[in-house]
Amino acid sequence: MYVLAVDTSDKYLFVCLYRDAEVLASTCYEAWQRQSEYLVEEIAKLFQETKVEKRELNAVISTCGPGSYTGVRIGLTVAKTIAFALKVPLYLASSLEALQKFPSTCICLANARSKRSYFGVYSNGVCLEPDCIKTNEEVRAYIAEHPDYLLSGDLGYLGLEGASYDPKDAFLHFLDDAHRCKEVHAARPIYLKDDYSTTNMKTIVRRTIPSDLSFIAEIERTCFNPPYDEKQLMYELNENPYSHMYTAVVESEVVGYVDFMITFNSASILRIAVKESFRKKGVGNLLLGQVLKDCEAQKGDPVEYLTLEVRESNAPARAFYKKHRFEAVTTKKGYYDDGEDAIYMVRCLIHG
Amino acid sequence: MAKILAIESSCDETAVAVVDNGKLLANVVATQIAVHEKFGGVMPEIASRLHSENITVCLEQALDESKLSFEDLDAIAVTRGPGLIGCLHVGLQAAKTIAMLYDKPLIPVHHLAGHIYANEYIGELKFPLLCVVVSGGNTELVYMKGHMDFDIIGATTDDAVGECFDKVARVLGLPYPGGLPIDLHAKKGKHTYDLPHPNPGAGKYDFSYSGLKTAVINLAHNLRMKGEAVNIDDMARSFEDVAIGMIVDRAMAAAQDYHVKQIVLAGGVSANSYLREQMKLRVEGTGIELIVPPLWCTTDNAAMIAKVGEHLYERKYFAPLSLGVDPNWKIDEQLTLLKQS
Repeated sequence: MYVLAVDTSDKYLFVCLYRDAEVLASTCYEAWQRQSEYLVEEIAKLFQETKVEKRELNAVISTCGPGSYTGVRIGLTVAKTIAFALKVPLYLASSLEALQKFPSTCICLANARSKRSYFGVYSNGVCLEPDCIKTNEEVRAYIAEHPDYLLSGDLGYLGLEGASYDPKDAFLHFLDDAHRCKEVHAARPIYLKDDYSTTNMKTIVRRTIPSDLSFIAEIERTCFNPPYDEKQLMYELNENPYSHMYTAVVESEVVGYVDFMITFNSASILRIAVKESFRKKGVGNLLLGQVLKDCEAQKGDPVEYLTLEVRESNAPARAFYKKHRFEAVTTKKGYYDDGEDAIYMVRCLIHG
Repeated sequence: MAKILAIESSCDETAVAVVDNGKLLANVVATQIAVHEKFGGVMPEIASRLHSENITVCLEQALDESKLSFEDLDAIAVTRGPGLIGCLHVGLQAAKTIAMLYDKPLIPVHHLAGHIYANEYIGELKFPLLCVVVSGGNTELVYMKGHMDFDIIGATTDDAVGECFDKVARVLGLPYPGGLPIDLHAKKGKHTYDLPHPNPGAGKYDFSYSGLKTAVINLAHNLRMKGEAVNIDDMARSFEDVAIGMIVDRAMAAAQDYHVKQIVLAGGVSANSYLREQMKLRVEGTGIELIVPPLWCTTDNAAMIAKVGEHLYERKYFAPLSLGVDPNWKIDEQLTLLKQS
């Protein structure tokens, strides 16, 4: 049985061709951003060197994250295209479990940037701590508590040394039902979310990122008529140069967002919404606070007015704006598609 | 001629097409597939930009529709740029993987060359011709002396025209993308607002849209601050007259100076009805033929990439497996990427 293994989830380009448990040929080097160029060529070389007929391949195994967003996608796209084309099984392993050294107990780590690590603990194929994101501080504490565990991964960013990267042996352990991808078309990268250990509801407001948009679109559908779809949201986020978007997050769940525009000396709120189950907990205040903060930050041509339109029938929202010192200025007749009037509300920012 | 499978993933559509000897056998665009139905919800982000999740589904559907297998193909064509880098990667990896597995030649295609050659589904290109490339990312006049010979003679000095439509739509409270809503409102409006005809900057055939965009934003804001309603129909009409007028004027000037036989429209904004109408009026009696792309070719698809693939296949314009993407690839570099054999 011929098996091809692929891993480009971090800085390395790793490909290996096995016949049963025997390594026929493998390539491993630091490719950084060049994985896109070299990966397919390196796979072609493995087949040339070993004279194995490409279409006799019996299985493909790939990592599926966590790791570099682009790198994971490149490796996984190639692996799933091969599995689809040749109609052979696709096996997927986490990028961290691929770092383990059998049969030791390993703390598998990768740099998640912003002083954080992707972290998972594996012992002879058994997962002791599922993959998650930890702060580097938490990681150091865990390492100190477990001095007998082997460290694996490129740990220069922690000032530590880990077992060097060589997943040839580990991949052979993943050719089982647990790792087999049931539906090749559906194979997708795994992106870990931050794990907030605090039990209290801790709301974080941060700039919106593209992966929030499917969740925001869901909130849109329950709060607005007509709702923005993901495409419109993506436009707001990435292309509309005047638009600013922030997401409110509670324990890695998207619970609210705001989308507003600053154009010269005025700003307008296009969207502000909080998930029903998270209302009346101050999330809206935080989002509006962020809008005000951004308006105040504009120097030179200070923002004088903050404006918005609200449905006449939306009493809770109107009360919320009134509390935040918005004044109803005019009624816009038939403003909404369904014919409802909008109340145009303005908050003056220059005199506080 | 040949059987060519083409992959396009430069922006928000994953698309795969198959042509056989000029005939379109399959033309799949990811958002058109009922992925949900097919996989019972395992792929929840159906219309997403996540090409890596859509690519094999599209490949499968294209093969099904064309009743071909990978073995039957003569070449794989793929959009190499311009576009969003992360999106381009996925299409390229899939194309390279198939080319590698089945020992098929790999043909790198420029996205805008695709939009231009989409017109071959309507009529024959006659050279010399002038191509008016107008989209969300491009506003260019491209002069072609012959097949695959692209010479950019005019371009926008700032925003692309499609971008400008989107921003103006946003200011007027119209949905995204802004092209169609503005077009519809403009039909009902009169040219009542005084908007500047922007100075084209350096060249005779160049465009400028940022001044026009700012003028609309300022005007709309001033009216709102005064509590006056913006007449959306009239604003749309006034804006479209200036924005499209600039394209028509420059294109006609260039067409006459370069003595072209044909003008072809390409890109998303070529779906604009006013542009189509005005160009038709202006070419009348000039002896210049106008080709307007079918509406399905004004949005991104892989059929147009396959069209270019056919021309390049004849020239044996094949790339090695180490081909990379180029998010900023220039159209006049389509043929200089590789030494032709």
